[in-house]
Amino acid sequence: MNKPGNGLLLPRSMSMGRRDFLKRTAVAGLAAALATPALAQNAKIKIPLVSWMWNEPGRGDAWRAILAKFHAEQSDVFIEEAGAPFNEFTNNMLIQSQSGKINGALFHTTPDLVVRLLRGGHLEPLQDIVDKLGIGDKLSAAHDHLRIDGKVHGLDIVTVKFGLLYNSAMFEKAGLGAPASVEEWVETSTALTKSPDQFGIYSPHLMSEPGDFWFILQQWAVMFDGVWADGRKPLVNTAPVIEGMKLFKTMYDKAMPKGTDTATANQMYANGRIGQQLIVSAAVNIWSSSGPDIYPSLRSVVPPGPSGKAITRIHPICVNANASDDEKAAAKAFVEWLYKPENYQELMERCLDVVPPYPEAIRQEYLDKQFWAEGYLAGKSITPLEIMGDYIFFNQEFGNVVMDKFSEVLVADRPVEDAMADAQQELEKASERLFEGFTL
Amino acid sequence: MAASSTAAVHKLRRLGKGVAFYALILGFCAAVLFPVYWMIVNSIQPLNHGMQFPPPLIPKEISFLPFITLFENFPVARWLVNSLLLAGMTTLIVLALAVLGSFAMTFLRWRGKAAFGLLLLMTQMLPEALVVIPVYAMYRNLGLSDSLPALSLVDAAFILPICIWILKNSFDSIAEEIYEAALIDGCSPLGALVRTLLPLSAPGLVAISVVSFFYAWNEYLFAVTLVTSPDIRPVAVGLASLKVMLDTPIDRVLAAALFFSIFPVIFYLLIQRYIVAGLSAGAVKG
Amino acid sequence: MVCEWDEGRIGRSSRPPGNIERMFQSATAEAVEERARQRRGWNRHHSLPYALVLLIVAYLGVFILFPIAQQFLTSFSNNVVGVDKVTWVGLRNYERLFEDEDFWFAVQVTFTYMAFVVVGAVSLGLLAALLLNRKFRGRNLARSAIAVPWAFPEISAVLVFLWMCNPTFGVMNVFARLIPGIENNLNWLSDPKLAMPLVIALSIWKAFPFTFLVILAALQAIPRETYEAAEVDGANPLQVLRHITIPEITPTLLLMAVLMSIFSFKQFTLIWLTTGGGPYGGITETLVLRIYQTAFRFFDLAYGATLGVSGFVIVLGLTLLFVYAQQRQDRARRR
Repeated sequence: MNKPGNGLLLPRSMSMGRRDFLKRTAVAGLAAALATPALAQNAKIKIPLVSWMWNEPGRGDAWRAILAKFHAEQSDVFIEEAGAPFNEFTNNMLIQSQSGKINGALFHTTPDLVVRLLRGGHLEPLQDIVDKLGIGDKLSAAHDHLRIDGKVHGLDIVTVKFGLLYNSAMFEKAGLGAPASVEEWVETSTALTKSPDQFGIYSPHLMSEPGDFWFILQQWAVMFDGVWADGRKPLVNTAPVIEGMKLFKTMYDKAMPKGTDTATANQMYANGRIGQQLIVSAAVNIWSSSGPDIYPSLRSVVPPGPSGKAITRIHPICVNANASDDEKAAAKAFVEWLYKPENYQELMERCLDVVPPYPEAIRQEYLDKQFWAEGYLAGKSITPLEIMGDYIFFNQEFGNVVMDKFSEVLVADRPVEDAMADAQQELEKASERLFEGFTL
Repeated sequence: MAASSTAAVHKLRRLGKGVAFYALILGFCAAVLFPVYWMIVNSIQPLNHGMQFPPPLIPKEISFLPFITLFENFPVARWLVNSLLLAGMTTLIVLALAVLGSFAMTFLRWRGKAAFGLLLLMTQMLPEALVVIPVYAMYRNLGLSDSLPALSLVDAAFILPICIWILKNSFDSIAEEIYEAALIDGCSPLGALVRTLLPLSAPGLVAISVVSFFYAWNEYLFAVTLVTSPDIRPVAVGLASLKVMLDTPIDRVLAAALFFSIFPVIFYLLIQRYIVAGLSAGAVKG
Repeated sequence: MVCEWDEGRIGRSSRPPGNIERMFQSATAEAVEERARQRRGWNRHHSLPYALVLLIVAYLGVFILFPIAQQFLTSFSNNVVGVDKVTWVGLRNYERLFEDEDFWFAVQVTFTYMAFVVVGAVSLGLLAALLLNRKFRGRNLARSAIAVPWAFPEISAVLVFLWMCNPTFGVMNVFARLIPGIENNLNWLSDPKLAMPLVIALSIWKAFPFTFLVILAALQAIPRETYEAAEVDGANPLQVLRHITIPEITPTLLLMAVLMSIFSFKQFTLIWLTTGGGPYGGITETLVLRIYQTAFRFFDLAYGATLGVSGFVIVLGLTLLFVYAQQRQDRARRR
C-alpha cells in the first residue's frame, strides 16, 4: 500500500537510526552506566557542564559518550549534565549573569551570547591550555573576537560554516546539476519548484523566527562579498548587500514555500520536497537521524555567488571566571583533555562535524568518507567580526532593523533599495545610543 | 381535528427549535474543537499527508510512531508526575490563601479594602519576563532553586491575585444575612466561613482550582528558569525540550502536546461535577 | 446550629499586640470603647481581616512586589548586559521613551489587540455560558469540550495554528476557498491585513473558555426563584436576559473584562511564536513583545524595565477605572 518515499518510512527508519546509534555507543554507554556511580563517588570534584546539547538528537549522545570516555580515563573530575532547552538557553544564562554569576564551572555558549559574557567578565582565559597543547597559532580565525590582550576566552566545540546543501536525488530526477553561478542557481531552483508539492529552496523569512532568519540572511549578502558593517558604520545600503537581498527576493517569489516556518520546512526537506537549503554544516547531523531517506543524497557546494565566501561561526566551551579555584582547575582539566587531537577527533566524528578548530583536530580518513562535506570545506571562511564590525555586540538588534525592513520587501513588494536605505538610516541613528558605555 | 393539528404544529415547532438548538451547540463545539481535531489528525498520520494541498480532512493512514518514539526516548512519566505534583501543590496553596483573601474582601469590614483589591491587580501588570530576574536571584541566594515545592510557591503567588478576585465574585452572590445568621448561631468568622460560606461557593472554588491547576500545568518561564536538573522537569519544560537547535520534530511535539493536554482535561472533567453540586447548594440558600 | 469553632480563641489570638494593652484597662473603659467601635461600624473581630490581608500581602510582596520595585529601580540605570559600568542615569531612559516612535506605535497596537480580545473573549464566553446553562442532553460533554482550548499548552496551540495557516497547504485555505471570490491560497500570517485578526482570533480561542467557566459559575449562582418570578410575569427570554440575567452577573462581566485586559496585555507566547510582531513594521508587536525583545534579545535590561514600568502605569490607569466601578457596585449591594 505504501508507496516508496512515503512519509511512513520516516519514523520507521528513525528508530533504525536509533538502533544504529545504540550499536555505535553501546560499549561507551554500558561502561558509563556501570562505572558512573562508582566514578561519581570516587571523584574528587563534581562539576556541571551547562549546555543545551543534551537534548539534541545526535550531539547529546556524542557528548555523553565523550564524558564517559573522560570519566574512564581519570577519576579526579566528574562532569554532570545541566542546562536548558536551546530556545531558553540564552535567557537562562542572561538571568543568571544578572543575579551575580552564572551557574556551573563549565558551559557551552552561542556566538551571540559569548561576546556579552566576555564583556561581563564571566569568562576565564583559556590561553594557557592552548599554549600547553601548542595550538596557539593554529587556532581558527573564528576565535579572534574572543581574545582580550591576545588571550582567548573560549574554545570552539562546533564550528558552523555555511554551504549550499542540496538533495542530489531531486536534481538528478529533474536532470539538473549543482549550480555554479547565481543565474544558474535561480534557473535550477525555479525548475525544481512545482508548488505545492515541491520547492527549489528554503531560507527562513519569518519575524517569528528572528534568530534563524537573521543568521542565514547575513550569508545572502556575503555571497556577493557584502559586508554588513565596518567598525561602527552600518553598510546595509551598499551595492553587494542590496544584490544579496534582491537575490533572496527573487528566490522567495520563484522557488520558496512562502510563509512556511522552519520546522515545517525541515519536514518538507526530510521528505524530499525541498531541493536546497543555504545552511550550516552542523545541520547535516540532524538529517542523518531525522531525514534518513534523504541523507545519502545530500551534497554540498560553496554558496553560489562571486565571492565564494562562507560565514564561519563558533560555539565555544567556556570556563566560568566566578567559579571556585578548584572548580576552575577541574573545568580546565576537562577542556585540555577535550582539546587533545585524539579526543577532539572523536567528538567531531560522533557529532558528524567537518570544520575543525585546528588542523589536527580532524582525521583525514574520516573527512574523506563525508560525501556531503565538499562544499563546506571549499568555501572561504569569513568571521562574524569581519562582516558585522563592532556591531558584533549588537548582532540581534542590528538584524532586527534589517529584517523588519526586508520583510516589507518580501510580503509587500517594496523595492529593496528603499527598504535598505531606511534600515541604514535607522541604524545610523541608533549607533550612538548603542555604543554608549561600550569601550571596545 | 383542528385542535390536534395545532398541537402537532406546536410539537413540530418545538422539535424544530430543539434541532436548531442542537445544531447550534454542535456547530459551536465543532468550531472550537477543530484545531484540537487537526492536532490529533496530524499526530497520528505521517506528516507528509498533511503537507499536501488540499490536506485530507480524515487521516489517510494511522501510525502511532510519534507516540512510541516519544515514550521510548523521553522520561514522559517523570515529567507527568512532576507536573501533577507541581499543579497539585499550587492549587492547594491558592485554594487556602484565596479563600481567606476573598473572605476578608467580601464579608469582613476593614479599612483599605479597595487599596488591597487594587494591589492584587497591580501584581498582574508587569510581564513575568521582567519579574523573573529578581525572583531567580532571590531563590539562588536562599538556595531554593531546583525544587518543585519552591516553584509551586512562585506559581501560586502569580495566580493567587486573580483567584482572589474570582472567588470574591462568587462570595458576592451569597447573601450577607447567611453569614450573619451563622455568626448569631455562635460561629466565629472563620467557623462561619468554613461551615456556611464554602459549601455555598463550590462553583467558585471549582473555578479557581481549575484556574490555578491549568496555570501551573502550563507555566513555562519560571519552570525553565528555576528548574535546571532534568529529574524534576515538569511537562511544559519537557515539551519545550523536544524542540532542538536546528530541528523541530512536529509530529512528536504534536503527539506530546496532545498527550499532556489530556490531564488538565481529565482534571476538569472530574471536578466539573462539583459545579452541579454547587448549583444545588445554591438552591438551598434561598 | 452548633459551631465547633471556638470563636473566642480565633478572634483573640489574631488581635494585634496593641489590644493586649487595652485588656489591662478598666472594664468600663473597654465597654465604652466597644460601644464606640460598634457605632463606627466595626465588628468584634476587627483584627481578623488585617491578619489575613497581611499574610497575603507579605506572600505577594516577596514574590511579586519586591521584584516589581527592583525593575522600577533598574529603569533608572544603564544596565545593558556587557556595559563597562552599571550606573544611575536618572530619567534618561524615560527621555528616550518619549522620543521612541516604536514605543508609541506598540502602545497603539497593544490597545487594539486588547480591545478586540477583551470584547471577543467576554462576549463569546457569555454566549457559550448562556447556551450551556440550559438543560439538555450531553450538556456536560459540551461544557467539557469548550474547556479544552484552555487546557492546551500554548506552545502546542501555536504549532497547530501555524500548521493550519500555512499558505501552501494549511487547512484554513480549504475553508477560505468556500467563500465566494477567494480562489487562491491566502498568505495568512504574512499578510499585513490578516495577521492581526488571526492573532486576535487565536487569543480569543485560547482565552474564552476561562470567561465561559467563570460566567457559567455566576449564572448558576442566580437563585432560581428570580427566574420563576419573571416567568410568572410572562417575560420573554430576551427580557429575562436583559432585565434579570445581565444585571445579576454584571460584576462578573466587569471582572472578566479586567482579567481579559490583563491577559491580553501580558500575552506573549501566542503572538511571539506566530507573527513575532510582524509580518513587518511591528504591525502585531505589542508592548510585551517589545519588552521581551529589548531585554532578552537586545540585552538592554534597563530600557526593557523602562518599557515595563510604562506599561504598568498604563494598565494601572485602566484598573483604577475598574476598581471605581467595582466599589460603586459593592456599595449598591451592601446598602
